[in-house]
Amino acid sequence: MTGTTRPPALARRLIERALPAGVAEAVVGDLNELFARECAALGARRARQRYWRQALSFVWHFAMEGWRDQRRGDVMRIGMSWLDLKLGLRMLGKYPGLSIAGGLALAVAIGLGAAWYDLSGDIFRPTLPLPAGERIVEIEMRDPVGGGDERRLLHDFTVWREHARSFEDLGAYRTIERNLVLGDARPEPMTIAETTASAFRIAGVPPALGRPLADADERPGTPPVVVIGHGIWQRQFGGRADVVGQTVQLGRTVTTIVGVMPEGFTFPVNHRMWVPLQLRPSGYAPLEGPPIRVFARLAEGTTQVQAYAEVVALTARTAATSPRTHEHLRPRVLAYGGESPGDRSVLELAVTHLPIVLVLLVACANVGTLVYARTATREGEIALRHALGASRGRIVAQLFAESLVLATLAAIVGLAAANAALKVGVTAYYSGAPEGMPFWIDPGLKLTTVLYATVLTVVGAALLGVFPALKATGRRSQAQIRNMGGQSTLRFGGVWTTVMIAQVALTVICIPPALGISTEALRDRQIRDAFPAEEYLAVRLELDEGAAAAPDDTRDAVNRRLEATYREFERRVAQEPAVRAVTFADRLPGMGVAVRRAEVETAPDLPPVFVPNLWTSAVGPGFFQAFDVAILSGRDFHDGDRAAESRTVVVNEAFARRFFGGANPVGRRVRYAGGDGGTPQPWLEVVGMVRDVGMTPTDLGEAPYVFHPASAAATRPLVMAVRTETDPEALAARLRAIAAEVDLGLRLDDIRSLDAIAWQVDVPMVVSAVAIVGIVVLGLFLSAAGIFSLMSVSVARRTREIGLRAALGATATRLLAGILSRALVLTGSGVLAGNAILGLFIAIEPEIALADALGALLLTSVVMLAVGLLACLGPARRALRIAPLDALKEA
Amino acid sequence: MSRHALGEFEQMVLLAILHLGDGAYGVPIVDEIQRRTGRTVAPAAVYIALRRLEQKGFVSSWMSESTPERGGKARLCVKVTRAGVESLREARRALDGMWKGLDPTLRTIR
Repeated sequence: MTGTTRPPALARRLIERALPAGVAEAVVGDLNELFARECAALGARRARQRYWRQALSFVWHFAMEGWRDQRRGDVMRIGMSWLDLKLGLRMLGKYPGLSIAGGLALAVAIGLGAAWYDLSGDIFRPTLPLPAGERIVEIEMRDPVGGGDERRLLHDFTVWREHARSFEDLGAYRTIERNLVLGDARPEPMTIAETTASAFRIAGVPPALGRPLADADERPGTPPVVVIGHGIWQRQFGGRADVVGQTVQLGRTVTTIVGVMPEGFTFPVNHRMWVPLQLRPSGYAPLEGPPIRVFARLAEGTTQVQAYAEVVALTARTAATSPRTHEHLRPRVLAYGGESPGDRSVLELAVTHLPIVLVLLVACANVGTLVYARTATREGEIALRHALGASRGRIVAQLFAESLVLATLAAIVGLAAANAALKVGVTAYYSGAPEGMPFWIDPGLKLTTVLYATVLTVVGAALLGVFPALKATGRRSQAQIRNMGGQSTLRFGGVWTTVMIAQVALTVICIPPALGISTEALRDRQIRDAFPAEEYLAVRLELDEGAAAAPDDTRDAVNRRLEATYREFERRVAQEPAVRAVTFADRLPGMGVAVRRAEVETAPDLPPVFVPNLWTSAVGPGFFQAFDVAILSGRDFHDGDRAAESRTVVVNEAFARRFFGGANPVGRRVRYAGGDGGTPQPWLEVVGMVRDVGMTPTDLGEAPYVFHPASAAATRPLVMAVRTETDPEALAARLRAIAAEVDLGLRLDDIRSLDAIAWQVDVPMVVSAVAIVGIVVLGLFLSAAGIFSLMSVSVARRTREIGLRAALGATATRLLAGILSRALVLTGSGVLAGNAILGLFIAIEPEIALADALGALLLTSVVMLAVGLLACLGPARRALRIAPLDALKEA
Repeated sequence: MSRHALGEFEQMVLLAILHLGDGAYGVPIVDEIQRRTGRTVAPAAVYIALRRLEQKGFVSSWMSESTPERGGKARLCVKVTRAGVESLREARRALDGMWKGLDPTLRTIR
């Protein structure tokens, strides 16, 4: 059975754990038999789904049967019984407010905690599905001065490979892209690992056919060879056994296939083709050569920390002989694919576990108020059970079971949501990565995470259920109940009150950003929707390195050839029947940010205005016409503007609004800041102003843009925009065919409609808006629930007092004032605390206008007080219904 | 009458085993009931019924050899015991007794 046609192992393990041994074996056998049958009839995916359904059905049926056996035998082996759990379920229905508020809070906490635990595992030390994968490491070089990673490491790699004793083997790779051409088939762009042969030894996976890359393949001048992945072998070669020895064309190079790797092998990241990284035998000067990534397998018995010490020593030697290049460089030896620098540090453990514990504690504190209030209203029942002989342990177990039911349901919802969110989020995160999703990432929750969350759920249930139960069954409480004739003795002390005030304050703080982000998200979507982005197809164009020129060509000759290739491609595309316009830019409207520090000359006699983030775009001929952007003032670019010495730019209306109060900016100047605060670049003259496109919404309506004239050869990345009268995605195949006819080295990547690209740019904003609004709504709900709990307990405790006051002639208004005063003090304290913190933010953030700030403070106060009053309605109504006579009789 | 009465589903399981003869086990029992009754049957329900029937002494079970098509897992084979057959007969007698003489009445009810 292959990986996709194998029954789900997790479901099998579940059966083996949950069912008696003999039965489990037979059941697994039966399900395997059914799986094979359903695979053939329904396909592997549905067969796996049905396997899971049957497995869960078995676990459920046998669990129920076990409980029935227990009840039939009248044996209570544990303090908690099935009846307690059933009662817990009924309690959820009886207190729907608590069930929804508490369940949601716990679900969010458990879901967030599980997702974080899962992600932090992948971030620090992912589990590599390779033999002894824990010994594979990555060696990086940090440049603290430059603030990034230095990847031009061919010199360092050769030094480490020659001298380091901590590693069994070292390897290096870089990712390249080439068109794969097979016979007359259309070229297909492929992401290829150009790697040392040691990659296959380090991964420890033998090929399925032929051989892996060999050290001899790394010598320059040896015939080009390639190892292909299982997927390409199956898809492009129909799984033929004689594929080894055949030739394929990679770009313009004819290459021989020497091996096929087995299914699932995509080392180093997500690669499906491997060609040798050819290294000069004479070596490399420090920081010479292309950027690479270095990986290694630790020698048996060597730790990551020991390897790190050796690499540091070797780098120090290089720094001594080559201080100019290596003085600031700091090597790191990290778990492969992760950030863990070695033995598990306290910090790593804290980062993995602390947020989860904190989130769970916050949720438990919240839900605790609700459970506490519910326990208070049931004190009479608890006392009665105690009097009838139920032990304290038995009552505590019952209340624990009730919390466990609530926490379990919340955990199921939270884990399901976290699983779905991780799948969508992780897939979306890697969808834009050039190498795709790494082979060690499996989106969705891992089994260990689910088990971890299960433990947390039980701990959470114990915190929620046991504490109020112990308090309610304490000797002092029981004595008081007897003395007070069954009236409630529990009260909200200082801890609970502080928790509720803090919660109200936190919710108050979150309201303004939630409103701000959600209105901004809505506004941005509305502005974007006005632009017909669905009529445009965006394509990133690349030419294979070296393929466009002979080795002795000058840079100008290479550029001329690139320009000619693009021109020919553009001419052919423009001739297509449905195409209305073709143009290019380094990024199209709505494709994300490219900002530069700049100075704008707002008036000839004033010093220029410094701008930390001016949006820029290099655009080709016909750009403004293709996007229907009218020239409002001045002129469009002409061919003369594209000459190297030309210093002209065009700006948009938003630019004029921001820097010139809407006046005409033509004739004014802009210049960019020099690197590291050095001399500014030459002034550029504004020769035209265009209408806003409407795809980069900001507070000004559109981002202030500066457009530069560009030629195709000088534009990186080179993104072509094709406006069509038909569905743009349908044009993609035709574009690929034209590109292959123009030049086999011309690759088309990332072909998508502009609409889809804009949506992808918007997704983080939409997700954050939904998340923060969700958090605020939950916060409001929990605050209301907390105040409701407090009021319920207060009314229950003061039944007799309220009745007596009513009998003595107190009016409803006076009674209500007495009841509501505490809730108002509590809500008011929270609102004041929240507003004080907000005020602090506003004071240190000069960009916030006073009117906006006052509006935000007023809004949060009104919303919170309204929520507080709404929460009081139920308990207040209950208090007013207390009959004076009944209260007097009780007294 | 037997100490243990048979439920409707238990009767179906026993009858399916008798139809299948030697070597009846989970999957064919499920198939047999589905084929003869047209009902969808959960394999888990069949296993639970077999467990109860074995506790009552109406079926006996043994593990067969493991087979590669089942992922190397053995089958839980079952057969109906003498007590099981007797119990089925009793169930049938009881039902037949209840049905007897009802045909004219049923014909009058639309």
